[in-house]
Amino acid sequence: MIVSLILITCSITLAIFAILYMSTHRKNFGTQIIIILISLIYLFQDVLFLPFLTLSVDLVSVEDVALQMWKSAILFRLISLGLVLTLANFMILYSRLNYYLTFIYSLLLGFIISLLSLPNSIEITRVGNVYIYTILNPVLIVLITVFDLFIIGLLIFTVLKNFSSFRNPFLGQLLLIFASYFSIPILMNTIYITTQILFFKDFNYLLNIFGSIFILYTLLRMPDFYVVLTNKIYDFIIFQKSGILLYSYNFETGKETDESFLKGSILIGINHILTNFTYKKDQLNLIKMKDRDLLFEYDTYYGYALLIITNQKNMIIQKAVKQFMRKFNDLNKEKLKEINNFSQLIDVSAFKNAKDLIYEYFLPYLKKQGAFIKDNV
Amino acid sequence: MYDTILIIMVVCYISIVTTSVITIIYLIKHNKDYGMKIKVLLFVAHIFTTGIIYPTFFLCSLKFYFSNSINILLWKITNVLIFIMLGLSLIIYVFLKEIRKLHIIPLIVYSILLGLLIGTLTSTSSVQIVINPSITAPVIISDLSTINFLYDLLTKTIVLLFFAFIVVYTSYITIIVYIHARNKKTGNISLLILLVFSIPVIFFILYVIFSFQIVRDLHFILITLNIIGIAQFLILKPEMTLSLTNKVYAISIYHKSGILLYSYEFKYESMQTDTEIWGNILI
Repeated sequence: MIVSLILITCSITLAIFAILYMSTHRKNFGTQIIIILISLIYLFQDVLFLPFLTLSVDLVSVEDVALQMWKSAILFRLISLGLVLTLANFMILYSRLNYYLTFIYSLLLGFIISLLSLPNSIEITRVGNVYIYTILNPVLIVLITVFDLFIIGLLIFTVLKNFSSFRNPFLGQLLLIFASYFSIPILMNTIYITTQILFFKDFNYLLNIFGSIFILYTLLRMPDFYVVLTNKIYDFIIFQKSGILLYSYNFETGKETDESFLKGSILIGINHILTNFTYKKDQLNLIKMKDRDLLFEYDTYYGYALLIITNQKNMIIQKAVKQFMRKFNDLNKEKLKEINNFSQLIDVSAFKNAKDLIYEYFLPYLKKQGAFIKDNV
Repeated sequence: MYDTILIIMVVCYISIVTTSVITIIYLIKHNKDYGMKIKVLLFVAHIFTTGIIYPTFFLCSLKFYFSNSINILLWKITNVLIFIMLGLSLIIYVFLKEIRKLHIIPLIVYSILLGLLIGTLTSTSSVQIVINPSITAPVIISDLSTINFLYDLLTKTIVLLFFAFIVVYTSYITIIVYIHARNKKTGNISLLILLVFSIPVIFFILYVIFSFQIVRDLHFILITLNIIGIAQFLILKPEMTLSLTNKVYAISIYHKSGILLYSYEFKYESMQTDTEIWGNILI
């Protein structure tokens, strides 16, 4: 009983600390959705599922309450596994959820919930100081097993399928280790539910606590891990509205480029847009190519535009661009005003400070990642 | 009275199956008229489920007595089929709004409810069969069938929740389509779809709540009329199956030098863009 109480206290403390840390360091994690998903996983896994499971087995004395808590624990676990899959999807692809997989997951979830809610689906018996739960409906056992295998298979498959596209191979390997590691407690729990051997329940609890500690470590030390792992930026270009290149940075080589590699016709096109954008209601914001997105962001007041070439436009990049532009305006407003007001020669070396801003706001997308670059800026 | 209703039901069954077979063959033969293969596939799946499988199970479970357990099983399958049928209708309707863009939250709600229903129906107490029932509609019409089904509270709640979700979500899509419709005609079509879609659903809801057989049989007749209407719509007006909110503003043809060769402006709203500028950009 004391061990159970210690485990419950540990997992709840870890969860509260992680949630509080993320809510106070939101800007480190790209978008709100990642923070919400991780917080929900901590909530369902460490605050609800594991404590409810332990309480229902060896701490609650009233039989009916214990049974309801055990059923709730299974439900919380199913939800938390769905959230883990969603998080993996956002971390790897930042895309909409796959319709077919969402359908299968939700269908299985609904099926299991209804079978759990049926009377006499689970039998509770007291053995010594603990309760043992026997699932009477064989369909329910099969469904829970299928559900767990579906989650494990999908998690590892998603990581392996995208492994070659990861921006940073180290983070890809780390994610694969995480996916493999978290498969073990899922399996432990499946074995516990079907066999009721308490060792697997406790082992599952311990593995989950270690997993939560690992995740907390990545939250504290490697927030880049949560910024779309397959998302890449290839080029970052700033144009004045006359079409003159103010600054250009190549993320692939990690170097500033004086000349844009882009064909002249694109420059002319952008120039046309920039010349006209003040009279138009709609602006050209995105050109979608087969495997590239050309993202445009304008500042009509200071008369310049940003062109970002990426493999996928998403909220994280858009947010970083907005932050970049705000800071860029603060640093260069006088120079930009002068260029716009007086048709004078433009000294583009004045905009070299954009490099520091790129390191500040696009750090996860840089080839040499992490603290090394940050420390050297 | 019983014979008359039975004859009507059988006539309906023959009509719905014949219409469905003809429509499916037509859809497969003229699949190019409908723009995308996925749409044809969805229409075929919907017509096949609603026009062939669903009526067969519906009629077999209600009008022919095999044994209590077989009739209950057939009726349970019918219930799952109506869920699938409405799900397919919803996907088609959402695609009429915007192709390949399903909303993830409604998809999750739908799938969970479908899972809940299937799970609940595995319980023996979820649906009870009543032969020669005493339940009648509070009107002068007497019992129309010797077989009737009663739902337990849990199943009833799930079925009602599902139908409530379907009606609310369909209404939501209809409002969106109506606001963003290509023109007034397509806006009116969306209202018509809502009406046609909702009435049989409402009749089924009434059956689940009250177990009045007249309501159930009317539901079947309405489904038949629906399928005939949909078939007519698909065969005679395939162009109406295109996205109802999709608009084309302008078509421009450019020479490789960037010179505008031809430009046509559609009349939805006036365009502000100078097409000459875009020619340069494109080239």
